[in-house]
Amino acid sequence: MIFRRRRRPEPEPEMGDGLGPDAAEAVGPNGVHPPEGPRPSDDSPHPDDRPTRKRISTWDRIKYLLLLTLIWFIMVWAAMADDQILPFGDAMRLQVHSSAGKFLFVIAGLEVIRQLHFFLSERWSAYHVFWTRKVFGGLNRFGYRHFSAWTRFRMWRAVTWLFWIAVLAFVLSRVLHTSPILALFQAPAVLVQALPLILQLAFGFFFVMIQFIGLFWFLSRGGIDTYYPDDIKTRFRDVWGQDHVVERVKENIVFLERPDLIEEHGGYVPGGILLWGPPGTGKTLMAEAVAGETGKPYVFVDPGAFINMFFGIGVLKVKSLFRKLRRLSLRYGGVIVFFDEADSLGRRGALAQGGPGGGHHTAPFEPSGCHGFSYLSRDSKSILTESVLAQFGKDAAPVRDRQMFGAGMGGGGGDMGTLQALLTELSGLKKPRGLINRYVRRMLGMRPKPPPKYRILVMMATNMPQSLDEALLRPGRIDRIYKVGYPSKAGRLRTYEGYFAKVPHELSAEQIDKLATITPYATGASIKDLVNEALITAIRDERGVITWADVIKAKHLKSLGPPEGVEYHDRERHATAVHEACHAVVAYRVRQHLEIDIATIEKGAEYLGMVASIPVEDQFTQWRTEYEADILVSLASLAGEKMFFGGDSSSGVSGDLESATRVASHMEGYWGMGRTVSSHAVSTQLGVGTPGGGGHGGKEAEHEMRNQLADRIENKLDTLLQRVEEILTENRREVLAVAHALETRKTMQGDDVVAVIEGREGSLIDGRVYSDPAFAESIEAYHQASLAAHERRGRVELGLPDAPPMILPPLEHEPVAGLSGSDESGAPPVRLWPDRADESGDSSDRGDRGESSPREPAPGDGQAPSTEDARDESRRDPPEN
Amino acid sequence: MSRSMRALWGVLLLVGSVGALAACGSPQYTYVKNSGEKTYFKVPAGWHKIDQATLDRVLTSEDPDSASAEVRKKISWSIAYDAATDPSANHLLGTGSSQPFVYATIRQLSDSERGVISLNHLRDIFLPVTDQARQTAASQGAPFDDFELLRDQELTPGGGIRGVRETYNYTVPLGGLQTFDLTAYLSDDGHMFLMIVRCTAKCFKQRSGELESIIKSFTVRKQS
Repeated sequence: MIFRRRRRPEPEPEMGDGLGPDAAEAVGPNGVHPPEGPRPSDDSPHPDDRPTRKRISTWDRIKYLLLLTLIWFIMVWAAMADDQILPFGDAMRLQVHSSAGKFLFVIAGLEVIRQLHFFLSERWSAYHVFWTRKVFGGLNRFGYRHFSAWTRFRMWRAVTWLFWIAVLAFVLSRVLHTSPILALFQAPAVLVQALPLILQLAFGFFFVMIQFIGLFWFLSRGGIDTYYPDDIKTRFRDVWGQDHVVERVKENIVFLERPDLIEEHGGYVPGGILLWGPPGTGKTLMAEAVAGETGKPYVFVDPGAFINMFFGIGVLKVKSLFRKLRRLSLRYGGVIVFFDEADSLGRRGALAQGGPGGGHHTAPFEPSGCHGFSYLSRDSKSILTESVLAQFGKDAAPVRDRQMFGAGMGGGGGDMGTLQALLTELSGLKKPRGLINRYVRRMLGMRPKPPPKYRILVMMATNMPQSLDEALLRPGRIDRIYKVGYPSKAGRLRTYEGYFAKVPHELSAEQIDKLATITPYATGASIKDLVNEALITAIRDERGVITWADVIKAKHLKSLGPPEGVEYHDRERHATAVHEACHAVVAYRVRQHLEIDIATIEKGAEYLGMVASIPVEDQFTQWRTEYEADILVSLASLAGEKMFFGGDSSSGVSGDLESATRVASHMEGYWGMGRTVSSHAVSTQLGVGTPGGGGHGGKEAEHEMRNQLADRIENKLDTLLQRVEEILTENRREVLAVAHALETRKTMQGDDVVAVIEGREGSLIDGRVYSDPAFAESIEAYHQASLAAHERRGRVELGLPDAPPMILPPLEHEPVAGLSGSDESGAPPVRLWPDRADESGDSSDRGDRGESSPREPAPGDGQAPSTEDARDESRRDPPEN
Repeated sequence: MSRSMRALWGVLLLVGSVGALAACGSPQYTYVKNSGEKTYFKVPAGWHKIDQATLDRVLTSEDPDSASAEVRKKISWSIAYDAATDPSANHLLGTGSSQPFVYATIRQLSDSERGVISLNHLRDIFLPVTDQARQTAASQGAPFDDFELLRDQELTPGGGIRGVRETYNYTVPLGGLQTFDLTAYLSDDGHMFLMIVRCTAKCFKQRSGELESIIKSFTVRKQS
């Protein structure tokens, strides 16, 4: 079609006014600037001010002729190759007389005429105007005058069809050796003759396709379970500790079951609820309760339903799911669909894209050393965790890119198509559906029927709400977003009571209340697990009733994990004990908002020792004094090691220093808790300098600012280090006492730590012995021996002082100190250890278990050391050579 | 003159020269080929092609609808050109004419033929040339006399092709002395390529240059 090609004429560059083509186009002939903005596609800028055609480039002028010439020589070359005695001249002459050669010459002639036409149009204004305005313009005007745009489109379409039919007729005529017209009539016969082959090919095509279709059909099954009313027995009353959320969810169920309550007032039934919060807080349980309470079908979407091997399966699943939901909604008047772990649907958030992180670790995740995280307050922990997660996020991004390129078959959780399909389905519930409804009715002149009201309540649960797509969460899709957070103490208490009510136990109401207090971040799942672990502990000891000791043991097991059973040598055990004792004593002395939960020197998977704290009460605001207390506790290890080991210190304080520095940095730079007020974040962003810095700008200002900030942080840490040194100096006896208790018991409850410090009776340890000056001297002597051993890196010459008999618990313990209200309340007394009489029948098993449990005292009269202590003794006093 | 104009005129000149060169006359020769067997030769453009059906009928005396004719069409290819104003296939086998006649054929040999065929067989493929063949023909009363061998040449163009070129005279009843030029090749894949040029001895002598160019254009490029 090259000879029919038309170009939109443009203004001539040589206008004589010195303006280029752009300028000529920008300013009209009357000097009037055309209106700005896009113009209609069929509206040329200046239809009447083009005297000639815009000149085309040389290449555009000759390219088709060159192409035809090239084709000509290729034809000549082909003829010579086919007849090896054919000379070039005769080959040229033969091609002229061939039909292909004649056709080529006709095309070339038409192209030459076209170029001549262009050439004249570019230089001869009258000629150009004649063709553009009279001929083509006349045709256009005729068409516009007599035909509508739709008719013109159809005519042009008919011309296009005729052209291609002509081409087909020409090709068929060459194949069938007949005229083009006859060839068109013979074509159907040829088609019928070829029908078997066509059917064969079609069969082959469908044979191949059916395998894919079948495969995809099978792959798009599964992952979706439907429950009908009364299938599930869980009720709202089974959800404990989340009453405020349960009330809101109930409200949605009411609207779903009685939509007229809101619809008759012009409102609409909320269509989506997102439950988000930490794992184990009862989101899925709440959804189960919805399924149990509602009278509507309940569709549970498995979290893995949209994790597929191939792209596209997720889309099919979403469409299939919503077809099912619409059907159920119409049949039952409503339906609830629950997407568990909804973050698998939309992977756009930063945290959601995380993967295996890089090598950066901070204190909470140090593989060794003191567990410099557990004794911090919740807010400090949060800061440290966020900083680590941010680091993971940075490291994760390239990992994700690699995965994107490497994943040949796509798949993965919530691929793009799945999310888009879900969004479309959530928004598309109000569109007319169905082939007959949309097309046949329209053909018959009828409007498609609007869809019925699909009352579908979409519930989603996730612990990563930031990874959900914002489009998913907009009102209309997910109308209500509820946080299912950690239950309050009242909620935890109710949950403990609920789970303990299902198992036999001897706990008093006060003990359960204390348990709820000392497990501040417990969730429904963790509470259930803790109660179950306590029951397992009791059963292991051949008791069918849970005691307070079982609960504490289970709590230790859950919070610390099973001990590794690693035995320190004497010097290291003492150093670790002193290190943790410094943390514990300083924490007890300076920190009022937290109390010690547990202290241990038993090596875990990622720490050598630990002092863990818990809040006294639910707290939502952090204060400067609390942060300073956190820093003091962090710095206690460094100050203590220097003080107790002759100025020496270990690398085990690295995590503590990191935590202290980070908190101090935030205090100085961001929270206005230092010597200055301005925020470092804003100062950095605006480059306004720092208080006390020079008036530099740019990088110098930032450098100065950093120096100033770093100095202030260092000053603050130094001041606090001096303060903690003073505290430790004043509490030297207490530190060594706690260290001795730790070396003796390995693990201590928080109230026992306090008992040792205060020299009073604890729940498991009687700390009064540590107030005995003689015993304190023996502990100090042992420390001096350890210090001497440390300086020469040798063996400790002195054995660990034996704990006086009163430290060890009696066989039958009285109600726990501080929990003695159990007697008054009439609750059964707590039995920490089984009766001797009860054990007499199976002593050999008990003996084995007793040795295998390092923290469990041996049964006896309450005076004998534990098996662990005995083992320590034997290790401390090896036979002399 | 602008660069654009020069380019346009250059292209027009190129296209025009191509057209002029191509259109300045018809080719002097008709180039005959069998592309499948890569066999080529040329004859002057004024010569007339003999109708294929007539040629087959004269050469084989077969009914064109017979099964043997169908088989022969599959295993052989033949073509003939006559310089006479009244072209006829009989000019090859009959009394001949005073104008040259060219006949070419390609045939796939059967296994038994491939086993026995030799260069002497090629020499005698059209008329008896070797002594033994002439004696046999004479004993059978063949009406050919005055045999004169003008050329006996073995050809080895390469590619597994070998053959002979024989030029000889025979006196044909009612036709006078005729000169026959036979060029025959055998290929290793069992094909026989044959071209015969016939004319009176006088004609052959007078138009030797023209006929020699035709004979030498007979080319077989088939690779075994």
